[in-house]
Amino acid sequence: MSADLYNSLFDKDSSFSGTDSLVAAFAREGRLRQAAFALANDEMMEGIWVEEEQMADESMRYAADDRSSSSAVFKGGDYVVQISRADNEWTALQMAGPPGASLKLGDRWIVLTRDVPTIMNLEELPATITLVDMSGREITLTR
Amino acid sequence: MSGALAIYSMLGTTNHGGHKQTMNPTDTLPFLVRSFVNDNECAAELLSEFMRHVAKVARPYPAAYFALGQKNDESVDDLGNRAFTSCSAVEKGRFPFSGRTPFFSYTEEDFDGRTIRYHSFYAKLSITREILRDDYAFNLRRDPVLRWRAELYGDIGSVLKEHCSPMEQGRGVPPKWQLEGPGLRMLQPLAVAEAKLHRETDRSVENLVRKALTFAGPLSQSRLTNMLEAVIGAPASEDPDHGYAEDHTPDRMGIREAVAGAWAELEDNDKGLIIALAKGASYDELTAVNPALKNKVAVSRAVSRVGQIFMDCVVSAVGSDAAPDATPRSLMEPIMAMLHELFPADFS
Repeated sequence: MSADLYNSLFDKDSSFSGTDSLVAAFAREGRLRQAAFALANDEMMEGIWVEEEQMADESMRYAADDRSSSSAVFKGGDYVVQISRADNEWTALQMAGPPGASLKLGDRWIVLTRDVPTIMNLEELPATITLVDMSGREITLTR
Repeated sequence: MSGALAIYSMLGTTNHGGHKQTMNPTDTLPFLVRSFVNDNECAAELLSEFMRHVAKVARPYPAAYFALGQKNDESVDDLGNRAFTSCSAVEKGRFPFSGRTPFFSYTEEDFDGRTIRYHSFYAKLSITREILRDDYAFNLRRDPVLRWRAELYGDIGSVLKEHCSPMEQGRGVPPKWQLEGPGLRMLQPLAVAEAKLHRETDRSVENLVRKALTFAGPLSQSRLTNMLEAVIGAPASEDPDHGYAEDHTPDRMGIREAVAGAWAELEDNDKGLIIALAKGASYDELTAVNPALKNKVAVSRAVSRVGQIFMDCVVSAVGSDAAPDATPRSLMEPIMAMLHELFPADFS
């Protein structure tokens, strides 16, 4: 059987002569390499020596997540606001809704002008933003 | 209009023109990576950060995971330097790098410090742990005692594939294996199972694997290796394997020419056989890629041709620099290394 001949190349108890012995030595070295890598990889993937630090959900990126990290559109009520980053600068652009609105970020306010980008201070795109309209009503805008 | 007045009265110093994005003052890593990638600046500070985190990651690992199997300040520094080089110069295909170097992807994706540290150091298979794994795999096949461990792992794998079925654990974690067949079993804690194995008179790998799974339930192949190693006992030192020819033999060009020249003389079936042997592939894996090797005459012919045309020629080139008492096996490492170097797509 051809399988028996092939498998015997890896068998330490098989004996070969001449150049066949070199092929058998090569085969055993190859099988050893494969086993060594598989063992090292298994131990690594089982995390024997690791306490893996869990990623924060908000900064976890998934392969299927096509959302851009540099631009997003937020909607709520009548308002549509686009926040985007270009040349290391974040801007907010009100695309829809009555004038006179502002964004509230912590203790900071960004006054919006309809269809005019406004520079703002931001580290990363949030999941939601708070808009305050002319009457002081707070509206949560979501992506 | 009271709402608008309230808004305008609260306007502070924000929203001035030309504002630059501010960073979290306690986390400088994104800034350091960006400065290094975009302006080739802050290399020393970034490397210092790397050394600090690599030292922390490396702390629990045993010596077998380090270059030359030695764990000391120099080997940890070497690990840090290699992790830094890998992040700055080696393009990685896997997520989240997608064919980019890690540093470039961190900058392009605007990752925060925590994400950068996760992928560089602390993930289960981070850049740093990848290097630790590869060094361990190298030591497993070069150190005589560790080599016995790798061979035991391979022997256990043969038993598992023949007599057991895998239970996938998902998320890249290797499968656990269970004995086939019906019936309930009383499972024991690992320490109790191991004590029972010590009392087994039949010390063959097949019997010990079967008994271990019977006593302890499903186990991974590496867990079984640990258990059987404790029961059988690793040899104090392996049979001497003298004159292990290093892969940096003085005449690398001579070996390179010999390997490349001999390779060109081979037929497709011969090359297919060498590639399968180098990977330790099973017969089914060999014939899946090389259907022509499904008969004994073809395999026999390929073995003879590989031996006479390739091995004889290449071993002569390697053997001229090896110790006089070098065994055939000890000559194979530089040949394997050169094949990987010349034909990475075939031998990876």
